[in-house]
Amino acid sequence: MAAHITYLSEAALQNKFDRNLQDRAELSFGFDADFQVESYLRHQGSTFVDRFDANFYLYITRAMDYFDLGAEYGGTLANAFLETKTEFCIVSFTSDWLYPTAENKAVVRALNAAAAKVSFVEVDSDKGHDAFLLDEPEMFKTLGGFLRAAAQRRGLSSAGA
Amino acid sequence: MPKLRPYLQLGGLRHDFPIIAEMVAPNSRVLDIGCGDGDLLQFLQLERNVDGRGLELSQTGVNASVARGLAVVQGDADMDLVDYPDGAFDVVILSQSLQVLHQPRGVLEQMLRIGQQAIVSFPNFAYWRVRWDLLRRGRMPITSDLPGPWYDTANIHLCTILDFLTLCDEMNLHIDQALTLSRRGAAKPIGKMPGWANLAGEQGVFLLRRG
Repeated sequence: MAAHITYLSEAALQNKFDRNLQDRAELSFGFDADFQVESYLRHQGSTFVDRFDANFYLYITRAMDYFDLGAEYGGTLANAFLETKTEFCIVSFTSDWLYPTAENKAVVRALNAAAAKVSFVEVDSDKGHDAFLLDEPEMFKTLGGFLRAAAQRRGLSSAGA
Repeated sequence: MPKLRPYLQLGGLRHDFPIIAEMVAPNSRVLDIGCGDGDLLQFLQLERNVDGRGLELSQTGVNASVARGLAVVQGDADMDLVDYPDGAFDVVILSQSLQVLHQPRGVLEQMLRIGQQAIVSFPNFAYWRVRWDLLRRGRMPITSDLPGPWYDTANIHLCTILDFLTLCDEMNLHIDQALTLSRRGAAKPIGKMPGWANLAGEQGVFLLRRG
């Protein structure tokens, strides 16, 4: 449940559920799911528990905690990207609090410092982290343009195709 | 699609683009500061085959540029140029954006730190129409280069061609080329009579390097 909240945004939850009650006319002042948002999160929580082994989350979380790319390159993230031939496209969403814009920009700064070819776009969305799975026309335009241009440079598609 | 001259194909180009393209050597590494929708970068890719990057403040401008396949990042020229390494580019361009910067001098210094050369173009506030407008109406001028009333304009650091020449002198910059542009896009060298150019030129376009 806690994890699921981080995939969404406060604004999106507010819009969807507000303080609406779940199958009842008034508050019960107990520990049952009085609010629709509670019921929704409980449902998502139990679905997750059915689909995944909770121990995976422990391992993934630890792996993420121990991951420090800059540390492998003398403590400077930019060094990790020196001499790279890769073209980078970084997209952040305004309401994503797992990968916030400020942290994406730190990666962009490191790529710039390594003189890498990088595009960076912040997409305005209230869909939170999950926005990248949803219908976000700005993201599609960005990705489409980036991929088309990269393909053209490599002779993989003709102009406008 | 038939091959058109890029400036016809793109349409609606600002008339300093061909002049700027003349100043950029083929296959250069170029950074365009305040690149907007990426019109100039795309023009330079087509005309000069540059390896182009862009920095743009507005989200709509960045998104439009990236959707065209340009390598553009969202950022603020006043703050973010310090992140670029020394000498990363052959040419750093500031086209029609000098007057919107908070720290125009600081940005110029950064431009010539990260680039071998800098190209700067800006509306000349001493252009005769601007002077006449101010004299005749006694109000802040509104021209094609300076649209919008004083309270609703991004132009916070307006200067004249003479002012810019003084700044280059103070910063000990070497001027490789200095041109004025008329509203029809005719370019003239500023030459030995900068006072006249300061009156007759609607825009100034400068190619600079460290002195």
